[in-house]
Amino acid sequence: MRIQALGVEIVLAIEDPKLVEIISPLLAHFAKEQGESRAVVEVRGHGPWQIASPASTGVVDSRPQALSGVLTAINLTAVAGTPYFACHAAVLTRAGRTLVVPAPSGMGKTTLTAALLRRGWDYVSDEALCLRWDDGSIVAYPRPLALSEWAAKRLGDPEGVRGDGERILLPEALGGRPSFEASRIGHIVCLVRDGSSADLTPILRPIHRADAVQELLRRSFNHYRDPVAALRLLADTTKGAMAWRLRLGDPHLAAEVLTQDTV
Amino acid sequence: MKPAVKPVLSAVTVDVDGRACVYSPTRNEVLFLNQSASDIWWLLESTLDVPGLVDALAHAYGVDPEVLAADVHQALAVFADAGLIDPGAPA
Repeated sequence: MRIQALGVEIVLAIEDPKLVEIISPLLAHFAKEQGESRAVVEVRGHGPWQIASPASTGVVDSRPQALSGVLTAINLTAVAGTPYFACHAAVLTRAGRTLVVPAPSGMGKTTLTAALLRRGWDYVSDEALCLRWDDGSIVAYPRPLALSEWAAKRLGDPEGVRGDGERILLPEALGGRPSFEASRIGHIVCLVRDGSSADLTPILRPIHRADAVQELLRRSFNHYRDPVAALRLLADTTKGAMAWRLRLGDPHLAAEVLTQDTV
Repeated sequence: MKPAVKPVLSAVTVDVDGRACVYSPTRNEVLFLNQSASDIWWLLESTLDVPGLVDALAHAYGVDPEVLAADVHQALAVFADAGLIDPGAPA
């Protein structure tokens, strides 16, 4: 099996046919054409499963763990090898506006993304904002979403495949659809959380665009390759965008606030 | 008049809606200046010396130069520490 993620052509060599059967539909939205670089993610065995990629190796004992492990290996391989500028962010589009939500892992990007998909946004990525260095255009990275069971229950219990303590699904399961042609960035939303804030009312406040550019640069995977070019790229591609800080509370309410205020 | 404080030639500044984002080659990182630090940074493009900077900012903000002087010196010390201005400059 061959996919292309973030400009990296990834060959998936999986021995377990059952795992191939589970994972193939989940990779439906990845492009199939050749990438600019190439890597192999290999999974040996039928239980336990040995997962090896340029970015990580490991052995797992269950198929759900193997599924999550393969998806993680694909993600790490793509992020490590991408020829594009990439930073940790969710990206969605609606009505010709692109919304970018930079945040580290564990902040609630995927849950917020899922809630926005429920409200009719189109899916670009829950993981990375990727920009071509030459023209700043957005490269879609519509990987499968991995929701915690808590988030899945909260978001209407969408159907998915069981992963390692998570439910893995495509945007369609949430009523959304992938978008491969994101327009210019219209809004950047920086997340903050107040401890155990899942039940709080979200608060959206405008901030200076420089603070949003700082957050995007801080969340970058590869700006170190050329920090000045990365700074200029972010300054240019966010020109005219509105910048916000969102206290992320209840994901449904947060999605409602964002949809009202940014479309 | 004391010599003007100038940014080092290798510092790269990007203007984001009036805020200065400055790449420090010494630290290999970008400093995101707040609005008042940015105002000081932009004035470094002029030929003003430090007292002149303080006077110009005090006039712009409508405050007493003596109140502002400490803040300007503190900002210049931060710039010098990040290698953004000549360390021999009269901060």
